[in-house]
Amino acid sequence: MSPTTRVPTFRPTWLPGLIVCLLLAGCVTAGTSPTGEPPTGTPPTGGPTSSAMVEDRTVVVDHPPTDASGEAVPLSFEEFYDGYDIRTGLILSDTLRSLAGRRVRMEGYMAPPLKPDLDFFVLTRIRMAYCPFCSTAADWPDDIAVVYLTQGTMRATDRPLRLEGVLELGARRDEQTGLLSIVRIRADHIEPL
Amino acid sequence: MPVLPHRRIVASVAIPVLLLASMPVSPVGAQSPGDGPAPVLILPTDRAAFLPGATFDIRIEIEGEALPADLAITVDGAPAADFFGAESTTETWSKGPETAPVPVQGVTWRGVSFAAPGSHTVEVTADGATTSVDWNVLAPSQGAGARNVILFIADGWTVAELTAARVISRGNVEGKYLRPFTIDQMPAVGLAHTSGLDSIITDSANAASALNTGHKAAVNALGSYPDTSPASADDPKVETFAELVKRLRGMSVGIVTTADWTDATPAAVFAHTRRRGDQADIAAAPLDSGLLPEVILGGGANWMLPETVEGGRRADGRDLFDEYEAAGYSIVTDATELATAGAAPPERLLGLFHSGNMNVWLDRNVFTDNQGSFTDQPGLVAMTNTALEILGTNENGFYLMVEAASVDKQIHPLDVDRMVGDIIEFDDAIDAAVRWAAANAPDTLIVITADHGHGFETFGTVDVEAFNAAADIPGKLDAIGLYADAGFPTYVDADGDGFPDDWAPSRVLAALVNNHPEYTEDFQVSSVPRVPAIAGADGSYIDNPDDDPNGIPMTPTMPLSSSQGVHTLQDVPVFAGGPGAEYFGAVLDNTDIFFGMAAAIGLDPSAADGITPADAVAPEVACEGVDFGGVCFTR
Repeated sequence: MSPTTRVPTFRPTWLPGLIVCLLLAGCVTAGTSPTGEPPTGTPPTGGPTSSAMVEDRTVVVDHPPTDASGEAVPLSFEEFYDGYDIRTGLILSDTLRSLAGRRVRMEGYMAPPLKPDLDFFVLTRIRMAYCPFCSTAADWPDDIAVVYLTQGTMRATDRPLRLEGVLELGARRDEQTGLLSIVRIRADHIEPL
Repeated sequence: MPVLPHRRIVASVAIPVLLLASMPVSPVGAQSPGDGPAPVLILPTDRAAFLPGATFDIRIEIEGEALPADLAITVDGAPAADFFGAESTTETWSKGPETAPVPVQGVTWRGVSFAAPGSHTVEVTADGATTSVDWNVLAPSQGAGARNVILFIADGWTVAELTAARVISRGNVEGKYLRPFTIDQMPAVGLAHTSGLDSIITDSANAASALNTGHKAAVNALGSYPDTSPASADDPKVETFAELVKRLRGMSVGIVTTADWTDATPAAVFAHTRRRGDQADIAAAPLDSGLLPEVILGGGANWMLPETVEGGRRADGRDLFDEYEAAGYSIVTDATELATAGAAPPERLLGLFHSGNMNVWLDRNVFTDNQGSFTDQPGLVAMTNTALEILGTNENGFYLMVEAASVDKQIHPLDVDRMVGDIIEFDDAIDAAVRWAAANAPDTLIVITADHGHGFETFGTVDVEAFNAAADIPGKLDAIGLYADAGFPTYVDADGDGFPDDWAPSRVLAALVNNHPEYTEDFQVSSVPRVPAIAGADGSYIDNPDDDPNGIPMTPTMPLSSSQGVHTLQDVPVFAGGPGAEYFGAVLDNTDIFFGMAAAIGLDPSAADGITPADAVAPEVACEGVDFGGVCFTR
């Protein structure tokens, strides 16, 4: 087992049929479609993604995505927001807005998941003890990102992670889990650090 | 399995001969309609206590596909509909798991009350068996001269936590504290039991509900008895102290907390729900019910905003800031605005200062990076002072609930220093209230208590340098001083503000929580809020390598699915000062706090003006035990 494991990507070279062991003892079965995402955005199926990744009512993308398959731009949790206006909510940073629809690279931790085999999870800045799905009222930090695996599943882990994928932006509730998110990443590459 | 506390099932003496002939006489506790009488749940439960005139709902649940043909619900032998002068409604639902649903018939009376004090027996006859509960309607007190009531709640607060905070804040030299807390100077000191309907271990919802209603509830429930129906808002309700004093006496109501203002403890002032997590509903409850507190101060802006904006958590799309503003509230969002609000008190004030729970004293004042962008949050003292300035303008008086929420929220993750900081701040807020009352309204009752405890205790001190230099675990353990070797911690408060000048002195308290996951403990202040355990790959909680990496490994003492310390059984302290305080100098049930507050202001909900009549005479109660010193001791 390789400690650095590629989850099948958007690219044709990673198309279904592969079975790749991922992290610890977990395995990814390529071709398993993600189930944790409502059918709002167009699932990335290859090639450059478009603004269809971003919902209509979400933020205006200052720089329309043109190169979702290009080099990933490093993004940190600290760069997400410019603060919080009590009357209007979180203030998205220009950096975050400019990256909507583009490939980003992030590091963080997997929040305690609901089940061992995951097609999505919450990426946090620090290690968390709370499970976002176990209690919708949990005191959950604002600076989190929901990570959807573009293909396959992976095992839960307490190791720090580095991942790459396409950034989605805007408040949205996941119909299946009820989880509210603002920053989502459709990850095609996840590796433990 | 529904909880059926204190339920008595007795064979009915009025079973018709025909029924006796056609049905087996079932034993107590029969489980299914097929082989015995339908199990019956009566809410409120046995031994519930009421004030006359206080409104409540009754719900009778009977398992079965249909109401039993012989169903009879009586109060003291009279049909309940006649006794309360109201008709019931009937509903049907299923309880239990989806794989094995159990049909339930519910018979409900909404908004009834008792006219006068006395004991009552409610009997439900169904399928030939009778289930009964006894309810006690207490005689309203003449009052002790209190006009205002302030209830201070430090969530999850114990004597051991108070003592640790006192050592750190006030200092102890040769066994004597250098000065007391304001709390320590309260004339009445008591204890309160905290258990709920469903468990000896309570949570903040049912405990705070007991304080505010005089009725027990179950874990997660507020202002209601837990029924088995799926809906969380239809459970039989009981009137809260705030609702009573507003409805009957025209008093003002204030809520001050360092948590989300929709969190369990503040919500217990006004909310009625089986599920404390329904915070979006709780945030809208005052608007929807019309019980508008004059003052709301705390955190939790996320629950006010529609989820279509970033951070908003309301699925209903409402912007409650706009709605509260339309309802006459002035809105403030930081400490600076709060300070100006107090100068010209508005009629109604809504101040929310954080998206979620407010930051604790230690993070607002020492480790300020942890505040993020919320760099101008008021403390508990400023919020309490502003609340008093506004509420004090009502000549009818007020009820103010002030919660130091993060005493609990910090000792859950075993963060002793953050807990201690907020206890010191809690005492400062009480001191502010005492000074305000002395200057403005001596007819103010101040009650101080907790909703439940935590398993925290101090057992010595730690030589920090030796601990950190030790090469192995035995060496670290040897740095813990016990008995005479403990001596005294070396916190210094040169500026006299009650908080240590340096939270990392050379000798700190050896203090632990007795229930915990696997984690490591170094006894020293953490620059970030603690997360002692994290979920491992299999979901079990394991030590967080980022938390106290230099600490002593601690073997878990609780299920591996638990990430942090939990509430404990111990009685919690009660302190009180002002008119009516003596009531609280006793061993109480948490429900007694409600009746003590009512007694202090002479609240009689059955009187048109809500005031106990001057000629009302409390009934004599014969002593069935031993009369000693004017007190009846029973066994």
